[in-house]
Amino acid sequence: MPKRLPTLPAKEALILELLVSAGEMYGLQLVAESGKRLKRGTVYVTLTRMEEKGYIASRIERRPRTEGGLPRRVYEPTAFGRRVLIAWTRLAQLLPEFAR
Amino acid sequence: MRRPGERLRSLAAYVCSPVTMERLIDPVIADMQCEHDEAVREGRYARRVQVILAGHVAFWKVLVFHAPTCVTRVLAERLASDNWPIGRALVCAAFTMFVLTSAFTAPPLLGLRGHLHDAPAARLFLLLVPQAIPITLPAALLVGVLFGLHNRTVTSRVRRAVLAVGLAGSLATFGTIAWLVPTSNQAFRVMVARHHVVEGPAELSMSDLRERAVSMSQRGLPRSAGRLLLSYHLRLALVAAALIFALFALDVVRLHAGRVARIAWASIPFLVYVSCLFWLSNIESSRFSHEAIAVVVAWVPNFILGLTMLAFAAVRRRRPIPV
Repeated sequence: MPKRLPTLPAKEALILELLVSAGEMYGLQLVAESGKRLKRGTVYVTLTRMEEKGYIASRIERRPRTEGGLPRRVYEPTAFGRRVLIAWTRLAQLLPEFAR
Repeated sequence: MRRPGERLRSLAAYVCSPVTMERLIDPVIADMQCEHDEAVREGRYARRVQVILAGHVAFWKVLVFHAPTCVTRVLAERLASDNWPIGRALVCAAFTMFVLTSAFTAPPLLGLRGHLHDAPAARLFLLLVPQAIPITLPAALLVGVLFGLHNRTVTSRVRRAVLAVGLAGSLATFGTIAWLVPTSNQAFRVMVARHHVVEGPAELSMSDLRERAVSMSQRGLPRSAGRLLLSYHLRLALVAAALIFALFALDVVRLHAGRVARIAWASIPFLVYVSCLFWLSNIESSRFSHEAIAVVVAWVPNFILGLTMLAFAAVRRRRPIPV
């Protein structure tokens, strides 16, 4: 796998911050907690991209059999995602013009 | 009773891969269903409607945002794989057709630059495109099949697909020659001349061309009648060109030869074909006023190509590809 410096766009940073603070969340929970900064139409695409990058992991929520419908997908930050967030936050403090 | 989003999910399942369904579509629908259930439990009807609406909007947004990535990935995977040679041939043919049509259409327009006055160049360009199609479409199919199927196994399924593409190309050529070319040619002439211009043979529809040939013959003008009758049969012969070139390219692909040799084997007959066509469309003779002679002469380029295909088949039989 080619080694490239990980990047963290603003929306991905926000999602990581929310997930790090709460532990694990659903897509809609992230939208609600973001204070309208995330939209429900784009959050799932961003989450999928972040999962491909290895920043977050997801699992299917276990629901009682009595409840119908599709099970929800729950997202949580990976150790790599946490490290990227820490590094990115430091970088943002040192070089704010590059980490917008 | 159907739960909200089930219809959307089955719709998405038609176009999305299982991974996309699992990672993108199912989370959207699952969240919508959970929110909907909560609203039902709380007895909030307005909230229920709002959740369904917002869920539908989110679903379509996800699909639209994901579509370019999905289509590009699927196309790239399929073009690279051995399972979709006909798709690769079609993409190659489309690109060739775009390049050749632009190359055929731009020079006449540039030549008229000083006489165009304030006529819109883009519209004139579009009016010239149909007359290039009967030549560029067979050429594009030739190049497409040649490069698309290069180093790929030509199965009976591929052969059938090439046959279908060739037939579709011939049908498209017929539509272009019969209706599009006469109309667009005349519109181009009127736009450039800026007044009504009497239609020439190239601006006549198939039935008008034939009627005029008969009328010339009855008026004792065999030379003009012959020219018109030959022009009529040349158009019909050109309709077959797309199919013939697609099958010809398939024959070249199956030849046991290197890439350069294959390109040469394909391009020489094509150049001979086009030269023959241009030569035939410019010659005049009273002999062509006889229907049978006009038909035979017009189909000469196709016969030449047919003979070349037979020669290739004979070569293949003599030198079978080693297994």
